[in-house]
Amino acid sequence: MRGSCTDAGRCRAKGAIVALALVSLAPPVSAEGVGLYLWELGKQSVSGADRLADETVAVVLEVRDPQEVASRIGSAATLDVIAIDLSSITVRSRSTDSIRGGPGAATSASSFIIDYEEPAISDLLAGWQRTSAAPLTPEELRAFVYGHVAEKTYLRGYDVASRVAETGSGDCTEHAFLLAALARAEGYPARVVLGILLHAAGDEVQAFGHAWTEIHDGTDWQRHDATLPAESMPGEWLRYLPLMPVVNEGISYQMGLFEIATLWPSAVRVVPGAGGP
Amino acid sequence: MIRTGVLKLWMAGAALAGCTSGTAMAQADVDPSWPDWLRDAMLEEYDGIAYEPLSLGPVKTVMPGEIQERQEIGSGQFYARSNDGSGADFECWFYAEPIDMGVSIANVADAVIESTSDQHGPVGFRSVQHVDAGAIDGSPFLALEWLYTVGEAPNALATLTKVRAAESDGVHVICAHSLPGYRKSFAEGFAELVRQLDTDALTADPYYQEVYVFSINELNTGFARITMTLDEEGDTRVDTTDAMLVPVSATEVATSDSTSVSWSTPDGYLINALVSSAENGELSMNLALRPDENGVWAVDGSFSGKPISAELGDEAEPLSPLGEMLATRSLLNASDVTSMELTSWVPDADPTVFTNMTLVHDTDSPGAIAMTMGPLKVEGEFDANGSMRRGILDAGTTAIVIERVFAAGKIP
Repeated sequence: MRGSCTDAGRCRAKGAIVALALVSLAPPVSAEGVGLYLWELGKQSVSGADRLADETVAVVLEVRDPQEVASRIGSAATLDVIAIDLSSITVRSRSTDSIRGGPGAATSASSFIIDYEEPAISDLLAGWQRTSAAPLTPEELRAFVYGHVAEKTYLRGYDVASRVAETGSGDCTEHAFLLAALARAEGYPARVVLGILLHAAGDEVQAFGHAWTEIHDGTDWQRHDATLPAESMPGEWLRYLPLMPVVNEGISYQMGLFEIATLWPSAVRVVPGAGGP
Repeated sequence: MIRTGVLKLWMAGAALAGCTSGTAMAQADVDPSWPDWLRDAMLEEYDGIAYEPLSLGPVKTVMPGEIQERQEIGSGQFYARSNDGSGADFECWFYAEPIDMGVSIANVADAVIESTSDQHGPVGFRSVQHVDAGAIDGSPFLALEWLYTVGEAPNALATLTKVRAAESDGVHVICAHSLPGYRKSFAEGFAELVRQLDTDALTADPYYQEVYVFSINELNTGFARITMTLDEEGDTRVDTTDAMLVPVSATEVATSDSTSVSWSTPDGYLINALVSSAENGELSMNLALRPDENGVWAVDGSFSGKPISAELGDEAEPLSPLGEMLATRSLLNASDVTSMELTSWVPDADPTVFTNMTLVHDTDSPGAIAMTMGPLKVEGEFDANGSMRRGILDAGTTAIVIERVFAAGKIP
């Protein structure tokens, strides 16, 4: 890029006399919230939210094009569309991590954004202290990505996997792309899914836009979220609503992500106990 | 012609949407949760201010208050400091060279905060208070404010670092002021400095120029400046510069800077183009597009951190930004046609192909044209030059508006 004040040291204030006022301020605000999510879509109080873990949950998604959204999520086996009206779609979510379906060839290939053939990815795997010739397990890879992406930040845009391997920086999309690349490199079909994450603590349920990775185990797709320190979080309830996989993994992937965003819910509402059996 | 930045703008909007409840979105002057003394301090302003002339290298302008220091700090780089009567310095850095305004304003803010920390102890609470973008008499500007504390409780200190950056006549200026309050005073002092900036015309006179402001969910986050100048052969050089500040959380501001130079035939066909982008000061795209001796278009460079080299064929006749304006103008003036297809190079979308864009004129509403490029759709209002006055990007849950805030000259 052009000559610029890219080094903060070059721009350093010279002789600044900074006048300050004595203060005792409110506690600092956390930037992290409860996780590295794309969008906060709503917050609601639900009596006995902790019990949601045991239920099939109905979720109302307010969207601009309910029919189109319904057709897109039709293949997500953990969701059933149970109602559609002019401005919303209601889905029923089951508490399962397994998603039926076989992998297509594309979910094993190296692509522009899930670029496991790049040296940055193979270098990561080469540095692994393996105890056997067997592929690393998805859980080993997931935990590795959580640790490798040490700088949890929203500053990155939508970095490709090899870039994430180099920077060790990013939010949910960077975690998901890198985990998918490592999984494919180890021989597992893998894909990145965009969807909604419901998070309950106490009587409060929050909904976020989120990205995670699905890795095929030979029978089903299994969900893996590398933004979390562990697959399950004690004392917290999480429910994933997969809406649309990232299909466009080519150089024009940003156009694909934009298309998904135009269909994205503007609000999410949980209806406990309304999901039926 | 602003379409090249639209996709990047949406990507920024998607990031911004990740912090919907943070103070990063706040544009209020005073937060009711603050202690009384801070709320009062944040409302302090000058009660009238005098200006002193400043002559420094090629830079001639004014600064508020009495100038305390002026010096050359590097080749084509200058520094000046004045006492504006507020109790804090009004500091400015001048660059008689192109800089990336987005990352530079963020870095100046960081440097000022670091300097404060050096004097008074470690930074504790730190929050984005304000971002803004606009134009001062045709000069695009960015603004960034951080509220933060330094030192340890119970003796912690708080201040507000305000930074503004603008470009005029080839000179970039970044000014900073650290004190709670004086937000309007600082903005007015900076605006007067920019209005009075006289650089003996370091840049060629464009025959047409315009400045756009981008807003995401009603937050002004960036600008684009487009200039068109004629060369000796009658071709047009189109320069586009854009810069964005996107508060992605309460404590993080992402920056984005892009420049492009393209050459156009008088009738609007692309001759060649160079484009370069940086995210947070890190090069993200650096591409050159040109036809070879056989007329086969080829692109070379890097994209998303990867080297790319591709041929785009010899069949397309891509339009330049000038060509897009000419085509739009012809559509607005046509009596028998209400839509047309354009072919352009839109590297943000896909640098390895030419992209088709459809324009549809709503004849019931003069100047109204809907532009569609793949999943992107912009509802625009255009003037008689074929230049967009205002556009709304249909981006689902994120409201993205592109507003022209300055235009001068005429398209031939």
